[in-house]
Amino acid sequence: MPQQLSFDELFDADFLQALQQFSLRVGRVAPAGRLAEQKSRDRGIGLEFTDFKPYVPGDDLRSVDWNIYRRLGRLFVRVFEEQQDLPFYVLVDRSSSMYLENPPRINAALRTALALSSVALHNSDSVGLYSFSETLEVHVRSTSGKGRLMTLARQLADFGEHRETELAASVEQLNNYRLRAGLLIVISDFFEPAGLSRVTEMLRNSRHRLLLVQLVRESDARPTLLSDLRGDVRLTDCETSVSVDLTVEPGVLARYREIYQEFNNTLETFANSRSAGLVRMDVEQPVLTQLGELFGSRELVA
Amino acid sequence: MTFLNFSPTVLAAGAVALAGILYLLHLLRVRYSEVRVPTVLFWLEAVRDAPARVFRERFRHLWAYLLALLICLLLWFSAAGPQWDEDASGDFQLLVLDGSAFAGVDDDFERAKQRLLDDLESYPLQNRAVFLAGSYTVKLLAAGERVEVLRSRLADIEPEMTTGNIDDFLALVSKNQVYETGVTVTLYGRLPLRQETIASLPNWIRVRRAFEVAEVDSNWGIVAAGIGEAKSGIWDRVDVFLEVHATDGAQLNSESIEVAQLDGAEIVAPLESLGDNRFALRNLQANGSALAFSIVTDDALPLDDVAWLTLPERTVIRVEVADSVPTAVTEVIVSDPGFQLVDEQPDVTVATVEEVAGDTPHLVLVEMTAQENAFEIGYSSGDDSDAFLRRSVSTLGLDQIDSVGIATELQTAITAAVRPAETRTISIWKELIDDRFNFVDSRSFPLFLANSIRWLADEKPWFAYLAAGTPFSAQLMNPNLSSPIASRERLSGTDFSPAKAGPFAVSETDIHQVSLVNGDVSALEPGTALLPTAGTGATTSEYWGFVTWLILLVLGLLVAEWYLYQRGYIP
Repeated sequence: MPQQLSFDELFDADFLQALQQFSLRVGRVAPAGRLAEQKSRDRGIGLEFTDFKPYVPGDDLRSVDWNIYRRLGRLFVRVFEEQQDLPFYVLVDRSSSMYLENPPRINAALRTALALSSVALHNSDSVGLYSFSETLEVHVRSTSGKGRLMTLARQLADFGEHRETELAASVEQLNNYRLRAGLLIVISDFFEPAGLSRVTEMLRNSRHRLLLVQLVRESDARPTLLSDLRGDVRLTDCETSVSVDLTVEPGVLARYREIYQEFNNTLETFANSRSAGLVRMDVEQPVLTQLGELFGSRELVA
Repeated sequence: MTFLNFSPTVLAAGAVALAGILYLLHLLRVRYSEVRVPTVLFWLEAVRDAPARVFRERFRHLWAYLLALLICLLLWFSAAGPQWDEDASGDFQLLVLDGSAFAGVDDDFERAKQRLLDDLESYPLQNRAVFLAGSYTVKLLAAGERVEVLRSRLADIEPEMTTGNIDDFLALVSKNQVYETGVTVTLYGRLPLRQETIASLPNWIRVRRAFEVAEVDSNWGIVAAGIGEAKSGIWDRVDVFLEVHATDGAQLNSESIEVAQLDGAEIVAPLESLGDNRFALRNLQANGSALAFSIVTDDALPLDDVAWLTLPERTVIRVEVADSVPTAVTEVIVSDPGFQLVDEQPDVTVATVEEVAGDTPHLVLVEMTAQENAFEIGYSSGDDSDAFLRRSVSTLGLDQIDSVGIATELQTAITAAVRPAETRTISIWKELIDDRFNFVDSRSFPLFLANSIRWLADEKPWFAYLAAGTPFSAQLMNPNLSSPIASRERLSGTDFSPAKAGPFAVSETDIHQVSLVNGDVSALEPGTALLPTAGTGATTSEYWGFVTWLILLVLGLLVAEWYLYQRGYIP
């Protein structure tokens, strides 16, 4: 029986140290956030000069550009971009399919969630931790500060196996929370019994920017790598217990590969259409290595 | 190509059955192995185009079926025991175990039995039968019976003191073609087979010897034992003769032969050597006792070292002769020491027809006018009258009579007739005893008279010798017209032969000793040159060599099937 990572395994100091080099930025954060390091549409206190505007009563006299006044005889004030925090909403799948194989997908999911949370906290952003299976579960509504990482790790380590994947319903529920717009990171295999189209429909309605982390393994695309999948088999869905009898033969395998490719294409098409990030994380490869490739120049712009 | 284990019919039927079974198996629902997967969403859609097998589905995996069929057929073919020995072919196998005296040499019989049991394993059950050629050729194992049955039946079988004979058996097989295929007769032992028998066999019968039998260096055997009239001329004495054969030509002295009387009485006469391994016992009392001879020297075949003889039993016949009977008759009777003239309690009466009284067997003289035939024989046995008449002509010596001369003198035909009667009688014309004719003076008269009186007295027949496999009629010295053996032979129309050596009961009280005394047995000439010898090790190794290649081919195909299975090309 595959085992989920324990807290000690998850809260690996070397792993966390290696994450320090990464940062994640978005184009513009939503207004009304607290001051932080992400660009925002708010103008105010900041270091980044943006524009000039004519002085109106009430403007801060410290922002008046006296040089322009000397040349033109009119008062203009300098406008600065205000850097605010980015709310991260980490949504982790903990349905049965995440716990089935060896190594279970949940381990890569937890490491990825912790890594991205670590990066966010390091950037003074806030992190909300959610999980879903049959229902959406809130573990940490919002937290910030580097010291909160251990709290998040503890929450992640306490995740347990639930049964069915209800991603679409969970996203819908999250949408209804009317959270401040931020970055919604969905970490899942996306094996939604209701169908991927239902999931994308709900995600499309989300007001957050999206980063989809798809947990895959090689045998998803090449099922013949599974030693059990020989001859006549009865496949049972670990979540729904739905069974299907089949004879593993070239025709069926070819058709399976086509369908799986369509599934991936659908997810990619949605991500492109929604300007969302899509990351395929191989659960059998080290998470850190893949994150390194993902962040590339040490900064991932979602 | 032939098959050791199956007939071609069984092979073909099995191949068809295998093809059918595999075909059905490919149609049957399989037992699925359960596999838990993260999702079956993709599989559900994939199998929509190619659903899994159900109980009866369309035939989809032709190549997988052909591959499995090829593997099974090759294994079936191997099990059939293919071979290229055309002589063995698909013939029905008749395996004949020599149970005669020929098999008594050293441990030949045990070796033959073991070889037979070994060979049986390589023949299909329905395609072989086993016979024992002993006193009679009898079936030991029928087609379809298992070899274990034969083991128990062979346990108590030993070679018999008989010459054995499979010539008649082969003749019977060739006349009754009951087998669908050809027949191969394999002989286990050195029992000889007549060249003319082999030559007369049809081409669908092949005869061979299972193995070469070894030549025997040295063997003694009694090849002749018989009784003759005593050289001394004493009527109630006989001489006994014995002949011994040595394969190496050695001479045996009389001390090497023991003679004993079976009733334990002492034999006073010494065994006299006549040279050339011939011996004689002189002047033995003809009292019906049995003698046993045995060679005391060890040799290869003990069965031919013994012989038995039953001496004749000669007793004086009491004859009453009426006064009216011509003196010529009386003189002949008086001169024969086997007859005794008496006045009362006679065994046989000789009288004229007017004087005959009581139920004593009698020789009666009648007037020509009172009897149609010159000789009329009244007999009480149930024999056919014509046959009895034919035999009586020679047995009583009637054929020795100068019937033509007498008929000329009498001017009437001399005829003989038989008729049923409660008491044995011989009626002859009184005129024949007349001095006018030469019958009384002829050599045939005392012969006729002696034979007639002895037949009337019902004297027991005796045999000069009795040898296994030799007809009784050839050995009977005084064939009595109504003896049990003669009656049997007459009823069956064939010659009876004692099947094996040892006591032979003609009737409850008439027991004779039969000997083996056969030169062929003692010479131990198997006549192997006449028969080919069945293949042994070479055929077996060729068979296994071929089967090995077949099995290697099957293994190769299995590897190919595994590879294709691993690759997912076949289910």
